[in-house]
Amino acid sequence: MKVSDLEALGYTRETKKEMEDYEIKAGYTGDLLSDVMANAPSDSVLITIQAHKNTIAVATLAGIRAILVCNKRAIPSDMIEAAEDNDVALFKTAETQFEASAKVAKMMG
Amino acid sequence: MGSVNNLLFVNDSHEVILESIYTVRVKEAMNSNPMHVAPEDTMRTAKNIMKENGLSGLPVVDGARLAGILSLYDIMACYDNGSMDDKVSKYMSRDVILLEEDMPISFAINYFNKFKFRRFPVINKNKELTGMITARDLTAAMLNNINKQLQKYDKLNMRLSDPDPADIRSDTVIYRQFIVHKYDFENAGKVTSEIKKILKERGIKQSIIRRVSIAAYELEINLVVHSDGGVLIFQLLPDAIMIKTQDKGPGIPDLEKALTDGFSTASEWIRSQGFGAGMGLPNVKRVSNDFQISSDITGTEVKIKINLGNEEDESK
Repeated sequence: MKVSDLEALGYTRETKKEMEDYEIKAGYTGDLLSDVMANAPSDSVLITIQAHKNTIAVATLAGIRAILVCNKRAIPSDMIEAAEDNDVALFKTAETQFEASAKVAKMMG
Repeated sequence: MGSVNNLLFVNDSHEVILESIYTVRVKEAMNSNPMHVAPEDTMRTAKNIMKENGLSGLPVVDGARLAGILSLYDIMACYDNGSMDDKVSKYMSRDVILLEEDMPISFAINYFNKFKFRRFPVINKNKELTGMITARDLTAAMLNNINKQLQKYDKLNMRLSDPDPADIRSDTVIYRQFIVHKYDFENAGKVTSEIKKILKERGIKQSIIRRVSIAAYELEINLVVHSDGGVLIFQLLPDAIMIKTQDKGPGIPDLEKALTDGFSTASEWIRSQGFGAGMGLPNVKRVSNDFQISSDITGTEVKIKINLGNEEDESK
């Protein structure tokens, strides 16, 4: 699937900057940044509730293309800025990590 | 120094200032036991307290928990549309921007820049009001801390900015030294990004870059979360990558525990940010070909090596 397919699943895009519509090959669900850093595959979407700037740092280092923030967590503006600066697409949803993971996994097939 | 490249620092502001921004907690700067009213108090009571104490904002406390905040605007709205016998709960704002007492004051500075309010309520982890903080409180706490820091600054600065010649191998291709500050969550990960960039430019294999990134990130975060600040030294050698971190304390009381998966001494606030899961050092060890750690009360030193050679031969 592509990054833009996350919108098709009903998720709200928080980053407004034009970015390349990367291919997403995998997904990873987790809130512990060390765990994400060590185990998230590259070219992936991260499903998490960690809505702050440090998540973007980890995503950039691990090659994560998109982040989906679950559970209606408020996204601070400095997180959106950091995401745009580093070309990481940022989305939000009211769904839980479990629901979102199931939907994204289904779309990936 | 021959092959040593220019030293690159993460942040060029004066160390003492940065140190106080990241090490002083909101708790130490705030005004404890602030004046407050209850939701069922009258607006007249609130107005009198604000007038007598020269306050432009008053927290509203229900039991011990913060229920809202009352501003001069709310008092004015009451004058215009209601009666001073009305209850505070009718006018107070329930949408309160607040600080937690364990946060470093860098957060408070950020809030004063971001929001127009002149004071913020401070809560503890049970969501109970424990203080109020103004810009004046912040300045006072910082000056106080800077004074203390200055006394020991000269010695520490020397130790951090002079590379130890014994650390630099004669065949070093690239040498970089980065200073990392305690509680500098704003910049956490920037050193690792810089290292990743260097390796990418050099055409290092993706799988090696990932291992180096994991090790560098965990070591960098350890300096931010657990140390009193320190330095991260990166060296690219013809056959390997070496990373060394050295901090100013306080040291690891039990090294064996620190190397155990899941063991962590991080505070609740740090854990809520997704750190402190007890995976840091074990992760570093797992991706390194060589791992050495030593620690006492003057500081901790970690040295790791990741070989550039054929990965299949190596323990992962």
